[in-house]
Amino acid sequence: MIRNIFSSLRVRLILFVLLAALPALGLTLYTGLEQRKQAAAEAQGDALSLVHFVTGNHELIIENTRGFLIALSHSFSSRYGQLDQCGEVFSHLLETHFPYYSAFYIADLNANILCSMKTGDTPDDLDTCEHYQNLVHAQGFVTSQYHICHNTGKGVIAIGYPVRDKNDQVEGVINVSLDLAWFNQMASDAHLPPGSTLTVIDKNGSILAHYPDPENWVGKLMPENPVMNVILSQKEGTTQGLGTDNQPRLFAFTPIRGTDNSVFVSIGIPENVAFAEVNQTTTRNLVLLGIVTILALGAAWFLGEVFVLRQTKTLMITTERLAAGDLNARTEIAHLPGEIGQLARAFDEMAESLARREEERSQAERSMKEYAANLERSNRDLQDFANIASHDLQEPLRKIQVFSDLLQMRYSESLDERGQEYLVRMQDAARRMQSLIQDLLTYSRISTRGQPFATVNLNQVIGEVLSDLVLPIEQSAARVNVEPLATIEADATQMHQLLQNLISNALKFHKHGQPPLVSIRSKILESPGAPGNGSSADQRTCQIEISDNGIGFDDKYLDRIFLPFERLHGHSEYQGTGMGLAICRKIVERHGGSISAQSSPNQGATFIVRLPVRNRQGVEEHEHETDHHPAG
Amino acid sequence: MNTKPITILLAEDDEEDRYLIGEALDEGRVPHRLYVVENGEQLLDYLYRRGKYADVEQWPVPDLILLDLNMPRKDGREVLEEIRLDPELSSTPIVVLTTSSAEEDIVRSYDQGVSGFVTKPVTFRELMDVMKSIGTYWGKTSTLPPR
Repeated sequence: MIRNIFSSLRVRLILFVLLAALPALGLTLYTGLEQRKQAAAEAQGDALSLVHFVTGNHELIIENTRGFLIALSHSFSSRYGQLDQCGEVFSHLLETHFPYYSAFYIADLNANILCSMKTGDTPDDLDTCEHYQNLVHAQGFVTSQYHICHNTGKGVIAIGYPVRDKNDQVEGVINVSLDLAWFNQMASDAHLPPGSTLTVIDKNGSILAHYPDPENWVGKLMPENPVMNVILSQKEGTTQGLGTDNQPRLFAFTPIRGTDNSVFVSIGIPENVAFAEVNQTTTRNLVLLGIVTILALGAAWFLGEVFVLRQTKTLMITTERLAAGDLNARTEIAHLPGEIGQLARAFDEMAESLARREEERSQAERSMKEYAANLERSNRDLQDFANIASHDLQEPLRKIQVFSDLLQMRYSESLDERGQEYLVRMQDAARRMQSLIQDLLTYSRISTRGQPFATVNLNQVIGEVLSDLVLPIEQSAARVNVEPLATIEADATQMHQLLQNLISNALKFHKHGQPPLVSIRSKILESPGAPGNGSSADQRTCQIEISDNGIGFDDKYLDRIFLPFERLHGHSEYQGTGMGLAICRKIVERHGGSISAQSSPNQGATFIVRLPVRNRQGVEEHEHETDHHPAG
Repeated sequence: MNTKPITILLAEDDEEDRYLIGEALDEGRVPHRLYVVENGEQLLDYLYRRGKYADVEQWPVPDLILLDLNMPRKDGREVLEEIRLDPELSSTPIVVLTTSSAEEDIVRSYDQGVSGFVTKPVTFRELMDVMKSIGTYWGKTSTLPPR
């Protein structure tokens, strides 16, 4: 079934088109992939620049903060005795200009906060604050770890600086906390690609800042994620993976300087955004390819119909007409150019030659039939002639015989010796004439009045012949030796005639004073022409040899003895019409056999008859005719 | 052989044969009355009492028909076929007396119900012998259908 479908010319054509479209599809997909890679590289490069930009800004802010702190520490030191009034000034300043400083305080060395802003972010108890302790004991800047503020839950980094009195002795500390939420602001200002994320994490995976949705993420641990591992191991670079929201993203990341590679900023651009253009292009290309392929398929379908299938169908219909015997069928597309036209021309030529050959064949058949009819007619004419001639010849002959007989009966006393001798000679001549006519009649009837072939036991036929010839055998004191003979398919009457003629010849042509000795032998010959089929009954031949010890003949007459009316001896020596062997040959030929002889003068003669064992056609004919011919 | 003569109807176109058969019957001393027709049509006219054969006294019903096969107008084969198909006629024995010795004629004649088939002998002596044996058989040995 499937094989049949793929054998269809149209399906094959369509498969070819699909096959041709395959490289284009591959190319499109390959280009898409390449463009995607390129787009990824580009997006990651962009993201890396952004990350660097963001961290650079951040570091700048840290630097600025330091400068700011130095300035403030000098401004508020006891040299100017305004330390306790710092709060008011700060609040205004910071709230207006530095919104991302989330906490700010100045404390003395006894952990008393002298002034502060946004106290919510300020530690309650500086005694236990590690950062404060570090600060008190340091002589310069102290930057805390990036961490999550206990009180506010915000990601912060605290930066402190000592405040010195006029003796340059540390009398307190000034500290500011930078709210890492400012990254969010920066992210929104930096015009990140839509849907991008910006994350600040420390090496423990704590999320210090997250854009967007800081409130959902800040303070939490980063979920276990291959991207995180890449960031930690690679420190700076790009990668690809799932974001915190499980969306596939392209990431760029870099550590914040001064954190000893423990805090990283990463930007994640959604793949669908990064690849939007590529995907669009690829989709467009695929759609175009699809349209082209469908058009090509349509064209293949349609053009295949027009240029191939229709012609193929025409060829097929013509073939069917030819097969049905309409030899005038032609494709009528032989004028077409190309292979189809060539095929059609070849086809038409074939049909032409078929028609020609058929014409020749029927011509030959007609003339054959005509010939056969002529033959039949002439055979019939010959037969009619033979019948009529023999009948019409026999009638007056019989009258001659009967009246001469009557003459002899009633008037022989009136005739003298010479007259009586004339009468006897006349009667002899009439008898010979009668024999001639009868033999001629027999000869002509061999082929036209023959019986159908039947199974004939030649032993039985020989028996009948010898009993018919009992008188001449006894008269000549002959000895006849008969070896067992075969059973063959033949015309029994004609076999009788054949054997009778040959045996009577052997008896007749005996040497004067020597009784005839006739021997009849038979054997089965395998066909020499077909040794492979030698055992097949159809191929076998029955050979009968009839030998005598008579006068024989010179074998230069061999060709003549089988001709009608041919005689080697005068009537006074040996009686006969000269038809016997001619009749024999005609009988043998009717049976598809052969007859020949070997002899030399006074050495006896051997006649050799060969007959097919089987004459099947004759047997079949015979089977439905036996009823009409009762024996006897 | 002091039997009553048999009435023989001879259908024979050949004048010499008619003469010879008559001679042979006489010479063979067969007691007989011989009536002669010359072809098949005449034979059927005789048997059906048509035309001049209407007079039964002049043309008595035959005890035996001697029939030649080869005759003009209507040959013996056709006559045999008509006689065979008519039950009234088919009771008369028919002996074919012909020059033909063809097997098919012999077979067909017997198929058509003849009582004997004799090939015309070529000597007068033989013809006489045939007539004698016919006279003996049909006049003495065999009982003919009653008239």
